[in-house]
Amino acid sequence: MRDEKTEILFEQCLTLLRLGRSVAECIKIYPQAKKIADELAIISRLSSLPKRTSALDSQVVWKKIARKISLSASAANGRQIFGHAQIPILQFAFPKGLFGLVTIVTLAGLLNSTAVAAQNSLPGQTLYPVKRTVERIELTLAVDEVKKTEVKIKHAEKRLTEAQGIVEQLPPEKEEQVIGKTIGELKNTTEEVAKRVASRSTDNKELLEKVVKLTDKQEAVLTDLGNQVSDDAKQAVTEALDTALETKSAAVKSLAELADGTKNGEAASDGQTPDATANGTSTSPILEPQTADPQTTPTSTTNRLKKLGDPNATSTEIITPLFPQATQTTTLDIIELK
Amino acid sequence: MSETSHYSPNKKEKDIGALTTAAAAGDQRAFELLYKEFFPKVSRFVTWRVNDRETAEDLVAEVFLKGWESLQESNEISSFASWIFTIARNRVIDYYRTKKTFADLYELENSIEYEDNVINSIDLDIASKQFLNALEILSGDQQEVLRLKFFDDLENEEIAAIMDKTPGTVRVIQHRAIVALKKHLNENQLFKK
Repeated sequence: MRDEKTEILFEQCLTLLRLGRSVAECIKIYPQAKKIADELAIISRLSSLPKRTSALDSQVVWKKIARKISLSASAANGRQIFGHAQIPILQFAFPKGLFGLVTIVTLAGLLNSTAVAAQNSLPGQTLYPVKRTVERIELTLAVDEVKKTEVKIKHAEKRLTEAQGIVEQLPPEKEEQVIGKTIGELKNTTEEVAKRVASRSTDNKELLEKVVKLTDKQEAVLTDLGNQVSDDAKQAVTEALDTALETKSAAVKSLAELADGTKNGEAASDGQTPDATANGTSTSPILEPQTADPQTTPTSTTNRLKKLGDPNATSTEIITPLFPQATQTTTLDIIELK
Repeated sequence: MSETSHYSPNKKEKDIGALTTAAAAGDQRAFELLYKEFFPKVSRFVTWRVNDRETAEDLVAEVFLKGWESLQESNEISSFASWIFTIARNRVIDYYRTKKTFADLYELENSIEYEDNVINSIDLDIASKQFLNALEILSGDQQEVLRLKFFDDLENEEIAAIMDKTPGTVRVIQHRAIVALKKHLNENQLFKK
């Protein structure tokens, strides 16, 4: 065997040769490799031979995997709850009178497990109607308009996740059947959210921020989906994207007005009179209301960034990090930062 | 590389390590990125050992699904590359066992007749054909290491998982194969630098 130093040298040259570099180039980079030139020539020859290829379609195989992962996650959720529900089946441990109660608890557990398992279902799947029923109940149980709007925002997020799931997990023929309808429902839910927010005179900062986060995510996901779906579904995606952008624009504007109001209030309480207020314009470069010139009216994060003097930044770069859970830079963060 | 002490993990290996940790915590997106990284190699490995395309698709899907399940159940997966190829190897062997043909990967490897496929179907020059034929003089292990390394484009760690050996042993086999090949080519005056 070679010594460790030669071994490292050999591995380094091997890497270069496998990348298509020549033996001469390797020796030029690592002059000590001259002593193993013959071996490198053989490696070079082996590297230049045709590689085996695979004709399998990565997307097709991934759909099979993703569907099963999703199902096993649903089953795991179900098992977790069903497991608890099963414990009272040890009926002999209970007095007779308690057995009825135990049965009710068990049935409730079973229903609950079905409802939980349904949460990961997709349109067209058996448990999907259960998921929608749970959503309707959720909306009915919301006590006031703010809660109802929050529930609607949550539902819009679910439709978005479903649209992603349909494209990634369902077979193409099934995808064709349900993607257009799901995107349409996403659009309708987003419109409902927009109406609810508008009707509340946009005085709830927290709610507006949720709308901006929702539409930021919609913009990223729908832009991505637009490149993956069939031509038939593309129209629905475009319409949903327009709705998301309009809703976001309105929410950002309301937030800006809210921020202006707070700022002006703070300034006034300090005994200062903001010039902008006197001039009838906003003091905040990022949060200024966009009503005058349509050329300068920001309708997307990109435009807003351009207004901030960062013409190279794009909305996509900001809202679609490699690990979304690790980096959560959104329009809201940008507003906060500026 | 994790296979020897004198290599420190590169950025790609660190990324794969981070993705493995995230996937083990249930992050499906992280697992999808791992899938995208390893699909070309795993699918190539399986496709060339199973003639039927649909069967190969199912087997590759099963390999990654098993990988996902293992990640959820075990916290001891130090190398995803090694793990996924161990699963792939076992799955291919199981497939042939259920078909009651042969279950030895070495026999399987030799039954594929890579040379026939490539030499006859691709317009290789004479020197390349002679070179490929020269591989026949090597031992079974040596041939398998070179095939996995240069025809399947796998790393030592992945080859080690497939052959159920250590990466160090794979390196030794590779070294001996190249020395033997050099000797044979020199003796038969086939060696051209």
